[in-house]
Amino acid sequence: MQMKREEELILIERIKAGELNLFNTLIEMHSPKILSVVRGVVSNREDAEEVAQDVFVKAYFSIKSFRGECSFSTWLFRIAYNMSVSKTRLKKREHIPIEKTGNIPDNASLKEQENYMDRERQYKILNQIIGELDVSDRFLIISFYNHEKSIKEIAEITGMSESNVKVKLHRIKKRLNLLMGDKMEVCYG
Amino acid sequence: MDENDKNLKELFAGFSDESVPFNFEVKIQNKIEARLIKKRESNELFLQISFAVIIAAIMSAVLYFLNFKYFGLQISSLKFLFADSINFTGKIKSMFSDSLSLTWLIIGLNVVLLIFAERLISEKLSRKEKE
Repeated sequence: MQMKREEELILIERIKAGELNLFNTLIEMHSPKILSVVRGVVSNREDAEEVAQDVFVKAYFSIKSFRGECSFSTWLFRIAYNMSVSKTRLKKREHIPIEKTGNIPDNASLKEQENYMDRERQYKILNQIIGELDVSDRFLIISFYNHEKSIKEIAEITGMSESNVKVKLHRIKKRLNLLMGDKMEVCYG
Repeated sequence: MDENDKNLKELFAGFSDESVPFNFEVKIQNKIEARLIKKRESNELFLQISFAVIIAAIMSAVLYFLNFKYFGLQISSLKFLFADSINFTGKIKSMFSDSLSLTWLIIGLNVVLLIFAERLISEKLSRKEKE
């Protein structure tokens, strides 16, 4: 469900004015992204869904504080970031991988099957590496690559300065490449 | 975004799980509803406490008026209750045989009536709130 920023702002204004039943539209619009980012950060699926629900509950009760300085999605991501960080702090760090779904098509050639297996191996390694990152780094990298959030938006979400986000992303990428290289070598010999 | 970034982005795309579980919206609505009820209850409790405080203040003012202005009681007249010798039966006897006993009974009755009135009004208020 896509909506222009202006339309979204009008909708939010109506919710602020008391038409709280319209909040469902916002849930419908943003829940896939919020669920996706929280699933990437919080260790298990049930916890992630619980956190995602709480993000919307919090948004409902504090929607009056949304002044439209950033996009509503960024504002929700900020709530999701804070909630994921506090949830993960309470629990011991353990990263249960997100299952990569999809099967090799029956009519796939040998080359295609090999490519698919390589990709699967890469996913597993990447998932393992992400699990080793700390929660804010995990949020940072997932927002950047998965949700195409800009450096500025990530800075708004996490409360860090833009230069700090840049430095952090650079370090994480470097670490990812290094670990990916090492682990791929171990896999392939 | 360089080649390496593109490769990572492609890999990360595999992690994106945007599926929304069944009843996700309903669960959020239920949580919101539960919080609204809790909020309403705490508001009601706050109202009742404020009401009780106001009634207590009125009661104190009434008692002050009764004791000092109407009955002309002084703190010094209560001293016999805190006498050095421990003789409770004697104290109670003296309370009721004393000339002040009627005054004390009236004060007690007033307190009971005020507490009763406060309970009655707050009960009515909370019923009204629930309706």
